[in-house]
Amino acid sequence: MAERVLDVRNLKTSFHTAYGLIPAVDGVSFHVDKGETLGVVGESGCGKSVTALSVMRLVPEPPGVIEQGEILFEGKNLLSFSEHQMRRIRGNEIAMIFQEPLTSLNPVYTIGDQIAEAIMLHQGLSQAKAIGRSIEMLRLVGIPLPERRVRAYPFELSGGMRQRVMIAMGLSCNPSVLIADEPTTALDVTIQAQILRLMRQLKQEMGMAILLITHDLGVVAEMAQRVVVMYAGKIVEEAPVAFLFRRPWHPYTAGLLASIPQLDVERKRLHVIKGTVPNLADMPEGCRFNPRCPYADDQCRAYEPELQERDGRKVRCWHPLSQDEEGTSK
Amino acid sequence: MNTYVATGKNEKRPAKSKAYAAIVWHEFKKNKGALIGLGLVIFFISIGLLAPYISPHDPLLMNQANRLQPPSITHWLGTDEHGRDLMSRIIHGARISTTVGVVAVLIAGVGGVTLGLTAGYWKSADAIIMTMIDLLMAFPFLLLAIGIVSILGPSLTNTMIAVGIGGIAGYCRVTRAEVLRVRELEFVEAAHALGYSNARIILNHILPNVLAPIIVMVTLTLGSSILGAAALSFLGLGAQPPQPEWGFMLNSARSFVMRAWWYSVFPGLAIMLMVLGFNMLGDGLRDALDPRLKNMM
Repeated sequence: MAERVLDVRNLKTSFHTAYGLIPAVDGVSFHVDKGETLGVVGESGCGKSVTALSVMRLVPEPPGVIEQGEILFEGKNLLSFSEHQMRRIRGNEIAMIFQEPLTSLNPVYTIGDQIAEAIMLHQGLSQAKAIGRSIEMLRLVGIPLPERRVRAYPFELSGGMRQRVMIAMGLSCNPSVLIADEPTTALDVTIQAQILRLMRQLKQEMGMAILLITHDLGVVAEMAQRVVVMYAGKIVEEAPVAFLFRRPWHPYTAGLLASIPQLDVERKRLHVIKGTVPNLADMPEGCRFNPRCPYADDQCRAYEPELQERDGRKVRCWHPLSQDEEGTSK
Repeated sequence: MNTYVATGKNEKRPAKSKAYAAIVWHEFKKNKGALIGLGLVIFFISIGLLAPYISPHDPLLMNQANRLQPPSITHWLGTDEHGRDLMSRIIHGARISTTVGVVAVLIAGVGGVTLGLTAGYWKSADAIIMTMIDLLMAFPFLLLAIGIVSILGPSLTNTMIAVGIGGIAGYCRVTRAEVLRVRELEFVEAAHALGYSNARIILNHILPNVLAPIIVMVTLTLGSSILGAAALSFLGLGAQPPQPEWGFMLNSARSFVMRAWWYSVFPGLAIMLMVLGFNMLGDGLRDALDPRLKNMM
């Protein structure tokens, strides 16, 4: 079995609000193997970003608090680390890239200085060597004329270029895990494809694991080996990517897949999942998806299902779709 | 306000590049008032620096035979009640006023910016620091300065300290407000994700991004600090005789207003022109450095 770089177990991250302590991530478990890409999908507010921030221990405290769980990075529990130890992990062992390449770079420094700062801090290189390594990284992420660009300020670069710089910065210290939080959402489609291709290629060259957080199923299909689908702070389905797309088990996943507009099917209206994500402070009884689920029955409204494992995939549903279709239950 | 849009406009800000300096200078040049201000400031700073070489007489040399002489060829601006040359005293006063202004602003700036960075960055420190600042602001500036000087004792040094402390609140508020905006930008989050320490994030990443309004504030408060120090000296709490301080000269001139107009007019004019110069320079610099602020301040 492949080496587990990151193993998150039963993570619960809550926030203090006017309504009390509200869990944003509630008992989430997943793992990422070496060289693997795990996609985490879900609507806005389902807890994907909070999960990512929890792994980095960057949830603002207060109001946030990681209530329980374990985050094992190469076997060590990050939740037991001191802030000081954590700083050596961040950027060095686990790197993160963000959604907004336009504002993720400091406008007053050249990009070379910014990449070099991380390298000097974590690898203890001299400034000259760190700048040399920055140029190397810029070349690696496909920035033309890296010797000149290294002296450019962020405003001199386009959005796609800046995201490449962010990737270069994230990878400059050879991390084992790269957390990408919506890395392509702010970019236009052609640039998206370039950035995704770049990330895939770099993953192969450098052998890191990627935790890819996105709401875009297309990105997941292209990048990930396995997918975790989150809904209202919980994992509702986990499966290898091909299985998930061919045959989703959870009605929510099925709804998400049906919502993707298809060019070859003529349709007057786009498919939508009725309703909205429930307020975290006011969760429905039973299955959290039941008010929006076309298949919900009394059992769904009364009892919350567990995440059940079968055939190498997991689903949190009383009536998984596959069984309906195959007629094995109900 | 939408921070995203705001930073989009900030993109002209990288203060190091030559092109940026050229843009600022180009903007600055268009403003007549700013150029006049710059001229006045340069004028007063140069006469302050060159005071020992350009003043026609010894500013401290008394000559009772020459008391309260009106302006003449030998004493261009007349003499005071001890027969000292007024022009020489005003020239040396420029040196004192500039120093007082700079030192007071330095105290206010360093203190205020440090407090502002702390309050803006750490929410836990915010309430304590801002309550203190609010308390500080509850006192009228002059009353506060008088209080501090009466505790420390009247002298020029203590005037600088008093005026400096009085200016802390303004710097703290401006810095804090800017930090609150900048700390939410993604590059700060990215800096955390790169494992940077709080000190590194504050000094290397937040401070350079909040500097523009602080620079503007320096030029604007230089004028008011000079005025404040002159006011304290006028009240006898600052410069002590025989130091040729403008505010104190005005105080001495009070008794002779009817007999020797030049004695109160010229030091008063000097204070007015210097403060005016700094204020016009500050306004111009503000408009040139940050066009967004034109409509805000």
